[in-house]
Amino acid sequence: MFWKALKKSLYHPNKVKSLNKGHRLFALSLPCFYWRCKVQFLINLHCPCQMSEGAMAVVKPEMKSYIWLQTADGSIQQVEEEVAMFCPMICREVIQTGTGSSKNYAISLPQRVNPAILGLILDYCRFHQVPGRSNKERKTFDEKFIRMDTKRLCELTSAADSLQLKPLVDLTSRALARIIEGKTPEEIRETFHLPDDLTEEEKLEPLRNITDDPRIRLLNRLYARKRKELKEREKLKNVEVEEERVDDRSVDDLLSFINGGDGDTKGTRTNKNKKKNRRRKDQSKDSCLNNEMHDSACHDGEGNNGLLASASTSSKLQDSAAVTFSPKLEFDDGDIDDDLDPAMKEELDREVEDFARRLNSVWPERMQELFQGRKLVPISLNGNSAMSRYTSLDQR
Amino acid sequence: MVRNKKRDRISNLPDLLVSHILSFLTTKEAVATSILSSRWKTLWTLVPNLDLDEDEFEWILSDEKQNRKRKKRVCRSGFTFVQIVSKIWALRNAYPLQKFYLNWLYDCDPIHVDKWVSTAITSVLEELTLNICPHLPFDIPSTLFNYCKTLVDLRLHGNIIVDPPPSSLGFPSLKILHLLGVQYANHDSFSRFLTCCPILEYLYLKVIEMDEECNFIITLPTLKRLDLNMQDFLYKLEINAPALEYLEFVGFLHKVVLLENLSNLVKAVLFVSYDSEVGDTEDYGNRVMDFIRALYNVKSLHLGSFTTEYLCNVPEFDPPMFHNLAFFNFDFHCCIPHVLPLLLQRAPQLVVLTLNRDKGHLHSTSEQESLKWNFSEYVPKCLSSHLTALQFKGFKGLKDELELIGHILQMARVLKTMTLSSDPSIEKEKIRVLKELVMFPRHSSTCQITFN
Repeated sequence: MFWKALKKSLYHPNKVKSLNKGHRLFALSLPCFYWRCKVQFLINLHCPCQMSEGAMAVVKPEMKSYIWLQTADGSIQQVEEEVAMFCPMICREVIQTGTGSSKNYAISLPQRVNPAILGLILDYCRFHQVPGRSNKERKTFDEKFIRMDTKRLCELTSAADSLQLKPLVDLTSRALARIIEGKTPEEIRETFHLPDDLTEEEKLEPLRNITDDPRIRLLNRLYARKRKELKEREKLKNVEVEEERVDDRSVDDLLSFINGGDGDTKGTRTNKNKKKNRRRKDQSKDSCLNNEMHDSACHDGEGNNGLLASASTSSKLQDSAAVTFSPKLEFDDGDIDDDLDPAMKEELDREVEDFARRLNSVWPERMQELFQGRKLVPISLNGNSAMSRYTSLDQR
Repeated sequence: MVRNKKRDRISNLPDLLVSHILSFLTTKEAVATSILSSRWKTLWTLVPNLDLDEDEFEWILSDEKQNRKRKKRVCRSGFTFVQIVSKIWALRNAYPLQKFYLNWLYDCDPIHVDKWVSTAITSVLEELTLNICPHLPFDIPSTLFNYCKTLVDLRLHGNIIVDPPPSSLGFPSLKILHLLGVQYANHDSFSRFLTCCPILEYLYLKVIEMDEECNFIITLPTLKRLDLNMQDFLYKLEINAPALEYLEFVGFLHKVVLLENLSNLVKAVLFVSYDSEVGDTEDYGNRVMDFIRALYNVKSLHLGSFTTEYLCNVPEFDPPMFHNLAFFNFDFHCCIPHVLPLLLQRAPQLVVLTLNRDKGHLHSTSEQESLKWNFSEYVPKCLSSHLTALQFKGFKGLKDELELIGHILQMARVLKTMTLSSDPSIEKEKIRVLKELVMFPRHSSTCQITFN
């Protein structure tokens, strides 16, 4: 009787008809005969777990098949088959153990998957399992999908990992990496609520030299800041200087001013790449020189942009008094700030401010000198643009 | 109470997953996470990628005025690049690498590079990029040719000597290969290298000045994309790549350049360099012509400004029929080369034509001939039936430009858009030019002219 019922169901016109002997024997070994048909269906399709439209058409429309999933807290959900089968782990469970066909035989999901997160994952699967979507559509969906708070993102990553859904793991990992990127350690700890449980000593390892005299370190930092500021000012100047070819003695003056005669901060990197390609049409994708310029131009955006904007808008360059060299040009100290105690920090800031003030008092006069002495300076032809700009200034 | 609920979420993730997240960051940022908390101290060492990029650090010249002749370059905390990298290697406990990227130009020491590269070469390495400029040429370790079965992407850029051993196991998985400015130990080093790459799909070759003539014979059945940048004359080039879809050539075109079997080519870009020393411009023009003849089957073609100029020097200009050409980018400078009408004639399926006036070239090898618009006999087929978009970048409103546009507007039956991006120098003239343009008779009633 059992066998007759089975034959009847197997040869029902609305079920899959192409079952061979091997399939039938396998089917008989499984507990639930409704599920047996489903499994044969799948065997015919040779999982990876995406069903083609044609195969789906064989099943009667009302008989949409579902899979039952049970999360760690005990609650059971019913999910459309094709959506659930998008997850490799669920797919494997279904094929190998035959669970998931009914409420009593629900597939138990790993502990890291809670119902809310499962809902999100299924949304993802529901969208991506449709074969006809374009790459652009998928990308747009992903970008919207990933917008959630950090806590949920972590849970989602964890859950996707336990279900072995690699595309979602990569998507969420990248999002988390973007969150970590560019933040200081304090900010990262804040975002992820990490305990700050390393001692100061441990923080200094591995890349710090513990035996350094803190005073030497302070001095290094001061020099570094000064050099950096100078470099930035120089680049600023060079942006205009390149067009007008102004005598740049004043920069050297400044350098000697702080360094006491050691004026070798320009060109911290020599261009070692042989540049014999004089006649080449400029198609080079990368060269030492490009790297260098790019690097120096890529300083901290805020400070530089502000200065540049004020410099370029003032056509009368005597207005450069407005171009004050703010000591607040901040740069990314990263994790180096952690070691200085507040007293030293203050001292450092005071010194830098002092230096900046001195520079500010000197600069306007220097600028005046520069532009009064301009007519005597030889002009080098730097393409048509330089000439035209120079002449336009002359017409003032 | 709220504090209790703010538990550390990311700690629930297993180590491998966190290191997977860290693998999307640069090495510098990943290492920086080691000070976040005790758990994170060594997580970065599980990341299977290393990118050692000197550009990521801020450098200053050290103040040590000891016996050294020149100052060392150090970061703010006083370490040189070598010290930083060595420390990173030491802390990683030789966890196998999948991706290794090194960008080191300043004060590059080949001994250290050799040590690092040799350590990086393992049986799981997938991507290797070296962008170095050592003071002595760097010999690639021969282990690279024998132990990199999983290598997929190899990029060598700089003062590197390549010498594949005679019996190397090669790169059975290599798909992408960049050889930029690399030197070859023997005449056949390059060919031997290529024979080690059975499934190569993308080759980018840049050749700088060589001492003696080198043969570059590229016979790769799986190659899909080829970028060539030849900055020297002494070479012999042969390309036989039936699966090639994209070809780009920049640089000097030598006499002996053979292109065979490029019937699957979809897009080609040709930017021949200007050569002030070439005596016979006709001959050079013929070379360019021969090159273009091999590209007859492309769908998209981009010719640089010097290329089109050299074409003007060809005595009997007779381009092949570009049966499939749908997108044509035509660059020029000074004046519109007279070869354009004939090229349009030979491109019956052309859909988008983009003209681009290059600025800033003061040289000109050809005399300014007027365009030969002999269209009274037969209108080019593309104009009458296919051309839907015309773009003109660097439009100046000059007489020959207006003439060209006028002709095209008259003949283009299905033209939908004409976009003119003007040169900044004609700001004042814009209105006059626009008025003239609007008055031109248009064959296509749906044509829209936009002016940027």
